[in-house]
Amino acid sequence: MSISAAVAGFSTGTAEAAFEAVFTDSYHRVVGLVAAVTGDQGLAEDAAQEAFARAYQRWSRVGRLDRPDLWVARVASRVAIDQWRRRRRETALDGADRVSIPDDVQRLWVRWQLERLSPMQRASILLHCWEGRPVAEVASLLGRSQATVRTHLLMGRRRFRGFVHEEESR
Amino acid sequence: MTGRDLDRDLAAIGRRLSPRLGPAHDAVVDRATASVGSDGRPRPGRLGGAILTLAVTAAFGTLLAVGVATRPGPGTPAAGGPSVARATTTPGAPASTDTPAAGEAKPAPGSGPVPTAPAATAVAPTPPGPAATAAPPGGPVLTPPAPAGPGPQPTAAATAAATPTWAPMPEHTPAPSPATSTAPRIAASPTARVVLTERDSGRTITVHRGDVVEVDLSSPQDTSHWTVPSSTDETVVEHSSGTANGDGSARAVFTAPGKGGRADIQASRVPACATATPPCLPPQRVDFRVTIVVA
Repeated sequence: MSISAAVAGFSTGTAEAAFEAVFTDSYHRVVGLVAAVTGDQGLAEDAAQEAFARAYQRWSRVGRLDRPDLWVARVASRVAIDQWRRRRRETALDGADRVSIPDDVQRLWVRWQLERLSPMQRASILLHCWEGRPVAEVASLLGRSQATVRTHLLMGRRRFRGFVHEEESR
Repeated sequence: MTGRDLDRDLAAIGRRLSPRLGPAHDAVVDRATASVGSDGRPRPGRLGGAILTLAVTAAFGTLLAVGVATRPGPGTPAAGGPSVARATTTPGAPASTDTPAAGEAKPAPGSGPVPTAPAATAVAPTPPGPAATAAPPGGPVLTPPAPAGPGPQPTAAATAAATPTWAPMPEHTPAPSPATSTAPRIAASPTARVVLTERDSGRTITVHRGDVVEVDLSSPQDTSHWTVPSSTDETVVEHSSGTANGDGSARAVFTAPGKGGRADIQASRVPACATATPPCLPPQRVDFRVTIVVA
């Protein structure tokens, strides 16, 4: 079921059915997005489920949005980034090794040149590229200003260029 | 490379990381309902709890204001209510401790202990309805005395009916008992109980013979402590019991044994250094004084 059909289902059917439709349609994408943003496999499922749980609690409001899946993606991204920062501080204190990044996430990063970016930059680029969301919408999705998102995108492109230069100089 | 490609890649990653939708959905619902009350509604957060507290407080204040505003005056007794408490205050008492704070509901004329007119002591009727449970915004609290003896206890309804409008001191009302009594026991016992606090300092209270006057001085905000309240004339107002507590509060109970007249109940707030070694010499002053007129 498409998102638009699910949203339509919310207006004509039960809220529970509409939520399940959105969940079924977008859950895997949200998990993948979180994994691609943080590179942390353990965070992906947890952050996505937390975001969907919040959507479930606020479904009377979230379900009326044009794209409830984007609301969930935003919440999941922010939850994941917060948790990723917390874990990074803890591992830095403990001296523990970094979490292993799944192979398919690494392949996605290479494919989309996201390897050397911060999670927020990755989130900005992924949401910007995801169905061509404009900067204003990405800023709204991430809860940041448009200037901040533009800065993230610019820094990401600069890093792309640096990455490309390194590749070319080899 | 298009957004559709990214969409497909993300979905593939998600499908591999969390392949089963059913358990994931159950986990989401469990997580969502874990913070929802048994009625299915989300529990209020801190902000929600604060708003709820404010709403309850506002509702209580409204009920209080309505109760005060609807009190009958001394000349308009409500039909059917027994007269139980007869304590009154005399006008002209110092206003410093009686002046309501800003925003505090001001008692309606005739409310609270009725000012004693020189000619007569007004009898406060017991009004019906919810006004009987409204708390007084100020002034001494009068409650009927506890019933004595093994006889049947008054019911809760009888207790509520016997409580004057300005005397809803529930902790002193008789506890409801399964035993029922058609007639309020208070009707057979004419004595009343007056509870005074430090806010009543400066007032003049009129009581009748046999009435009980209880003084309850709460712990001061500073390090000082109250002395045990005492009577200036034990023949008029007799000291029955009294204690000064470690937290600075003090409590005493007096009775009007039978002799008419006037007497002051007074107490002082003593600084902590007065009990130190060597003690300081605190100024001799009276911080709490209520004049009792036994009619």
